[in-house]
Formats: sequence, structure tokens, C-alpha cells
Amino acid sequence: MTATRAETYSCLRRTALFALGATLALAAVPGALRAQTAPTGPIEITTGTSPGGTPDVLMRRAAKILNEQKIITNPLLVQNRTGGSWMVAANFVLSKKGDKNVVLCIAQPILTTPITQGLPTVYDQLTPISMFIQGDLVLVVQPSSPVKNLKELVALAAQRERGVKVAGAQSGSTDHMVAGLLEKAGNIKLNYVPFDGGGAAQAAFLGGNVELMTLTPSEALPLVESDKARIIAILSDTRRTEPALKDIPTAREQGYDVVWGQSWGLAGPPDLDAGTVAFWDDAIAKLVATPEWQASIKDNFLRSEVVPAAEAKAHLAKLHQEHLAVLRDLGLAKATPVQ
Amino acid sequence: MDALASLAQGFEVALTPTNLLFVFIGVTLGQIIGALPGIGPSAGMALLLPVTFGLEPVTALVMLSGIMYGGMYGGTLTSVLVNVPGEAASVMTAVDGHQLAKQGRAGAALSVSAIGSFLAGIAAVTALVFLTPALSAFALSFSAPEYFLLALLGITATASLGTGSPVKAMIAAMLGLMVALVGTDPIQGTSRLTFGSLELLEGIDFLPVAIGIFGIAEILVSMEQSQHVEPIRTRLREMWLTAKDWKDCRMAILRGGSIGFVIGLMPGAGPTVASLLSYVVEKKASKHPEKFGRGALDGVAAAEAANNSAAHGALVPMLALGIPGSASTAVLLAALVLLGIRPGPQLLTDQSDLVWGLIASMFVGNFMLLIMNLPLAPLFASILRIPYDYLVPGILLISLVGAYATSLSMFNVGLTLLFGMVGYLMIRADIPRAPLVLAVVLAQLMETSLRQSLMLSEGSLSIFVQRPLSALLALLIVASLALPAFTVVMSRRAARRARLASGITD
Amino acid sequence: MKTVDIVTALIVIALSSFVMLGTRHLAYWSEFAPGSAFAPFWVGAAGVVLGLLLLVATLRREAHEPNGFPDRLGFCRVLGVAAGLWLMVVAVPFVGFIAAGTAFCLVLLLLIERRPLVPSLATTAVAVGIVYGVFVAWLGISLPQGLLGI
Repeated sequence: MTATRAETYSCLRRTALFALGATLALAAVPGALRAQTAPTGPIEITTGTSPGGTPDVLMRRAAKILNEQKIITNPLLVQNRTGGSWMVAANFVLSKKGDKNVVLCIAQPILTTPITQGLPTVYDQLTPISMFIQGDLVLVVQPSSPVKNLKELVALAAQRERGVKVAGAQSGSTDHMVAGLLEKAGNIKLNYVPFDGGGAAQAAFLGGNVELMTLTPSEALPLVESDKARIIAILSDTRRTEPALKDIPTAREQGYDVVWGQSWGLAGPPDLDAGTVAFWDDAIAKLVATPEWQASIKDNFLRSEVVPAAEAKAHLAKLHQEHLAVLRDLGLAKATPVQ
Repeated sequence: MDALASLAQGFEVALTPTNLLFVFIGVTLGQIIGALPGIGPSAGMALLLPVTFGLEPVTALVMLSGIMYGGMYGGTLTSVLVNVPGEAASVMTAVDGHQLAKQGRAGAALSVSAIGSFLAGIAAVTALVFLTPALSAFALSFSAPEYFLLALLGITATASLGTGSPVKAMIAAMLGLMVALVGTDPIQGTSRLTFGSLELLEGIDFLPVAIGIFGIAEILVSMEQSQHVEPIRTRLREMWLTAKDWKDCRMAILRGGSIGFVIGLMPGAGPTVASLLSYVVEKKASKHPEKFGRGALDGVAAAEAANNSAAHGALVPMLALGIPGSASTAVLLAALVLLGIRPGPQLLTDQSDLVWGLIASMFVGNFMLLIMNLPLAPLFASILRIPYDYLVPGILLISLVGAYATSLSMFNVGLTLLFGMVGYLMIRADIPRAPLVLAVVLAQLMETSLRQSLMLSEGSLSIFVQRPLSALLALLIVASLALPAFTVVMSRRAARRARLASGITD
Repeated sequence: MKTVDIVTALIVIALSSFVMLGTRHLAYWSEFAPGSAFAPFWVGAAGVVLGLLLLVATLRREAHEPNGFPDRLGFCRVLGVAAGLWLMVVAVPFVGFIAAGTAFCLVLLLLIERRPLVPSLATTAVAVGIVYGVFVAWLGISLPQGLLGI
């Protein structure tokens, strides 16, 4: 019954990726040079979200293209091992040491659940393969609101502590972290009201019950076109280039260093051999080059900049540190494991 | 008559041979998926999502939504025949439907469900045609305070559920609330009563509870008789609905359908809450409330009409605003995105062929389901002619695999068994099981919406009476609590007066 | 029935106290709204009250209605099915869902229900066939496989 968006967030700093994106075309080359070994038999892509959640949909789309374009000939099965905020899925893959026939979809809860629940970290036990899908976030206010930009929002929030109401998904979700970053950058206190998922939060916003909300561009644009919301900032590093998004100023331009987004990728079980990693590295480089993949990325205002296997470990470690910092500021990070 | 012209255009889309075929495929799949325990329509839709990738958007959409409302028809089957809810929204059907089956009236229960679902479905689609923009505004006027009061209304009704003592019914509800407390608290993110178990972090899933408490427990009880249980005898003429049945049920269908549709509109409740609440309301409205829990045909009719109209109602916020009103519409939205269509308030105007094609297809699909279910009801009911001993292994196996399929973990299978044992003990201790299940569904809605309300109002309780809708609901709750108390006081007073009067005459 | 009700009441009181104690360390109130321990506290409190109500009502009741528990043989059958189910769940990781399910069906039909062999085999085949055909072949759900890969 949980709505789909809540569990699906992941995020990144675009800074690191910007340089890496340029290596996208080159990514296939080292992959092809290294010895590749293709696994035999069907391969499971494990996700921790229910069917229909964003990571699930993205992985099913990727699996479909990989199989149809014969990039990977092994049947790819996306399986939803829900529960424990992705920890059930993660533990399933962690238990499959060296198994060539299973990979884990990486999404934000893989990083955040261990932090908020005080569990051992997961990302550093896995064999990183690639992060290859990125999504940006925008801040929206009510169309009738006097607030036209981030500065005015901060000024409004500074008038009264917890006077500005923000709707978002569960405690510890991307929406919550964005609110936390905004509080820190603007030195304000917001009234963050968690809902049971993105859909319920959006309903609360459209019903006029809250002033502010975080959305993805593909969620926000239809609302803006029908005058139900106004975008005040995009949280990417630099402005997007698409015509629909190019006029949206970044938070950084407006003087607030709030850069946050979502990202998804794949990782193998612990001790996965280099040959299989190279096989995946190559497959993903080919996947993102297909017109079908490019089209679905463009339709949804996502980005597909590949962080190849060689850099994925450092990239994930960096993401982990960023999440840890934000969750600490929100008082949601648990230091020690609890029973 | 703008809507009618659009609808005609929609029918042109829906009645092309390809689309007609895919509506048929969709509703048939929905019927099967709904009947399987564990796998509900939303999971079924998502699992079959890849099938739609090569199709035209409208064709894909009519098929997927066919699964959605087909599931509402299909869920009835397993609920009535073997007391295992095929999907979450058929829980209340399992309560009375299976009692009816035991009395040899499975056919009637299935027929009235099919007719109720059909009428409610058609009425809901008609409302969709003419009122979508207005209804979407109404749906948005519901927020945390209204959800809290709605859930409270449902919980206060639990004491009246069940056939025995109200204390026991309330104990069952408390047990349900305790089950719902387990897991990560969504507001503060702290874990409660999880005992360090990862599987419990997201709380206890509703389906293992329902499958265990109703299905497994029922089978355990049936195992007590060492004599081979005679198959339930069903004569063909008892299969059909009688004129009297229809007279008893038509108001139930009307009430259930209307309540279901309104609750379906709200993007925070769903078909399950809809069928629970309409069952509870029907019990209050019924001429024979004592039959509820012992095989009330009108209870089945109300619950089934409600879940189907709620499934359709959930399309209003989805089509008009791009907000999912239920788990199924969330998958439908995901499908739209995958097909390259951006959902949102513009959908109605930008993609009118798609939207009206979808709406028209639902008229067609509901007709197909009626035609499929009505003549087949006796056929399905005759499954019960198979000796029960031979049905037991199949029911147990399919229920447990269904429980596994909800999250692909053996943990949920174990949980289902555990609740099966709990359900068995509850039957033996004469504690009604329905309130427990009702409480599990409503508890989280009640707790989170209470906390959300107070956060929205910055701690002021006045939010529950200032908003017009919440004031109305608050009034309803007060009335539903005060009315029985008032009648008790009045009847006592009358009795005392009678005693006094007789004392004087003595 | 009296004993059953007393035991029920005691279990409810114990569970309720456990819920209250188990969430004692959480926040009862936070900022504007109730905290994590608010609902458990009240649910637990209500449970204790209801348990006591049932206890008092039962103790004050004189009647000795018969309880609904089955005879010994019936009870053994219930226990047998329950034990079979749990054994199956435990066996799944080792032998796979399909094999464990098949074994469970046969045990249930032949040993507990004591049905003839041929119809039992046929029933098992149909039940396992439906599970495999629908869940594995059609919906693509991978059931746990045993060490032998079935």
C-alpha cells in the first residue's frame, strides 16, 4: 500500500558526475579491453521496491532493452524483494557471494536505511558495477503564493519558526533530506509533514494544505502548465538545457548551496569476479547508447550519465558520506546498531 | 453535451477489434489474478507491465485497467468459495460469503457480487464521464484530518462487528492495532516492536494477516472432524439469485457503490477501506444486522459493489491530477510514464483519445465481466462439490505461494502460518476475526493522519472541526456513538416508567 | 469456556503490557504532534482495560458452558496439519518450494486425511501444477529452489 515514490529515491551530487559524463563514450572501450565473461543462465535483477515503483520501472525498462537488443542474451528477470526498506533485497544479494546470476538495483535506501536504522553499511560490501540513471529535483510552491524565488521563501520561513509547511514522503526520504538541506542553507526551520508516499504528499499540496514541496521535473511540469504549482528552483548543479526546464534557476544561482538529486544503478554480490563486472560494464555502456533508452530517459527528464565500475566504488562512498551528513543534521542518523 | 461527444469518440477507440481484444485479455487476466491469494491486481498489473511495452498506449492502458477492475470481480471467488481473500479488498466478502457457501448459497453470493460489482462499476464510470473535474476538486478537499476521522469512524464500528460480546470484538480490534504498530513509524522514522528484525521494519503486511486469519484458520478448524466432510451440497436451483434476494440487496448495492466511489476518490484510502466501511455501514442500515457475520447476502453485495466502484473512483484523481488514489492506479501511472505519456492535469485535454478510450473501455470491460461471471457463478460454485479433503492441500499450497509472492520472502509465509494459528485460536476462543483485520487496515491511516493533522494545524485540535468536511465527519462520529447510548438510556427510562406505572396500579 | 476466556484475558493483558513496555523509550510527544510512543501507549492501555473487563466478567459468570475445542483425534489432526505446514516452511530453503509443497500435499492427503493413493497423487499433481504454471511459468516469480536446483 505504500505509494511508489517514497521508497525510490536516490541521489547524487552532479559535480562528480559532470566530468564522468564526458567519459561516457569512452566507457565501452576499457570494458571491451578487459576480459569479459558472460554468466550462463537467467540473471536476476533484485529490487527492493514493489512492482511499479520508479527503480522497478527503470530496471524493467533496462532489462527489456538489454534483452531485445541482444546486448545481454541471458534472460533478465526483475524480482521485487520488498521489506525492510530495501534491506531484505540487499541481504538477499549479500548472501549470494560470488554469484554471477544476480545483481542488485542500487537506490537511495541502500545508503540511507543502514544509516537511519543503525545497521552495518551495505554499499561497501557489494561489488559496484555502475550508476547510470540520474534524476533532478525541483522545489514548487502554491501558484497563489507570494513567494517567487528561494530568497523570498527563506524570508517567509524566517518570520516564524516552523511557519512554512512542507509536504513530503516518509521520514528520511529524499524530500525530507531536501527540507533539511534547505533549513541548513537558509538557516531556517520548516514544518516538514511526512505523508505515506509521494502521491499522498502531492494530494496534500494540491489541496492547498501545505506551502512547499519537492518534485521531480516530470511530476512538476504538468502541474505548472495547468497553473497548480510554481517552480522556484531546481536543485541541480547547473541549469538543465531542455526548453521546458532551461528557465528554472538553480538553488545555487539564488545563493543557497542546495544540490541534491536521485540516482540509480547496479551492483553485484560480494566477491563478484572481474570478468562478470566487465561484462556488465560493457552492457550498460551499450544500453545507454541505444535510441530506445535515450528516448525513455528524455521523456522522463532523467539523465543517463554512466559512472563505470572503475569509479563506482569511490562514487558510492562519496554519496554515502553526503547522505550521512544530511541525515545527521536531521537527527536521523543512528550511530550504533540497535536491537 | 460535451462529455457525450467525447464519450462517443472514446467508444470509437475502445471498440476497435484490437482494443476490444485487449480489454477482454485484461479483464480475464484480472479475474484470474484477483482470484489468486496474495497476488492482487496492482502486483499483477506490474508483473504484466513488460507485456504492454510494444503496444499502442491506449491498448496497453485498457488492458492494464482491465486487470485492475477484473481483479475486483475475481477476488470474490476465492473469498466466497474457500474463505481465502483473493485480494485485500475482498476481505469482508470472505466473512459473509463463505458462510453463505457453507449454507449452499455460494452461487447466490457470487451472482450478487457480480451484479453488484457491475452496477456499481457502470455507475462509477458514468460519474467519471460527467463529473471528473468537479470530483477531483472534491477529492483534494480530503486531507489528513478527514482521513483521521474516517478511520476513527471505522474503528468505532468494530465493537458492533462479530456476533458475540462487544468486549471480545474490541479485544480483537486492539490485537489488530497492535499488529499494525509493528514496523518503522512513518512520521519519525523510529522502529517500533521490530525486535531487530529487518523483515519487520516495514511493518506486517496486510495480506499474510488476512490469508492466515481467514483462510488457514478456517482449514485448521475443518480438520477437526475426523469424519470425511461431506461436500457442500448445492442444487442448481439454489445457485441463482431469487427475487427476494434481489429485493434485499438492491439498496445494499446502491449504498455500497456510493460509499465505495466516494472513498475511492480520496487519494489516501482505497478499495480495501471502501469495502470495509460500506460493510460496516450496511450492517447499521440492514433490517437484519444479526445476520452479519453469519452469511448476510446484503453484506456481500455492499462490500463487492464498494470495492469495484472504489477501483473506478480512484481513476478520478489519477486522470484529472496525475495522483494515484490506490496501489493499482500507481502502477497505471507508471505504465503511462513508460509509454511516454506524462500524467498530470493536462491529460484530459492533451490525450483525450486515450482518456476517453479508457473510460469507454471500462463500460465494455464491466459488461464482459458480468457476462463472464453471471453464467459461470454456478460453475465456479460447483468446485465445492469436490470433497473438501481434496481441496485442502491445494488451498493451503496456493495460499502460501501467494503469501510468498507478495514479497518473495519466506518470512511472509511464516507470518501467514503464524496468523493462521492465531486465527484458529481466535475461533476457538470465540473472538471475532473481522475486527482484527479491519483494525490492521485502518490503524496506520488513523495514526499517521492524526499526527499529520496536528502538524498541519501546529498542534491545534480545531483543525478537526474548522474544515467543513471534517466537521461533518466529526458530527457523524458523535452521532454514531451517542445514538446507541441514547437509545439505551431511553429504553431504561421507559422500563422504569413502566415499572413505576405497574407499581402504582398494584 | 470459562478457562478459555480467562486465558484470553491474561494473554491480552500480557501483550498490551508488552506493547507499552516495548515502546517506553520512544518519544510520547514531539513538537506539535504525538510521537512514536503515543499510539502504542493508548493501544496498550485500552488492551489492559479490555483484558481486565473480560477477566472480571468471566470470573463473575457462573455458567459452565462447554468449550468448542475438538476431541483428541481432531486435535491431533489439527496439530498434524500445523506441524506439516511449519515443517514445509523450514524445508523450503533446502529442498525448494515445489518439492516441499509436493511432499506436504502427499503427507496431508495420505497420512493425515488417509485418502486413497491414486486420487491423492492426482490432487497433488493438480495443485503443484497450478502453482508452477501460474506463479512460475506465467507470472515469472522465482520460487526458492533447493540444493538440487528444483
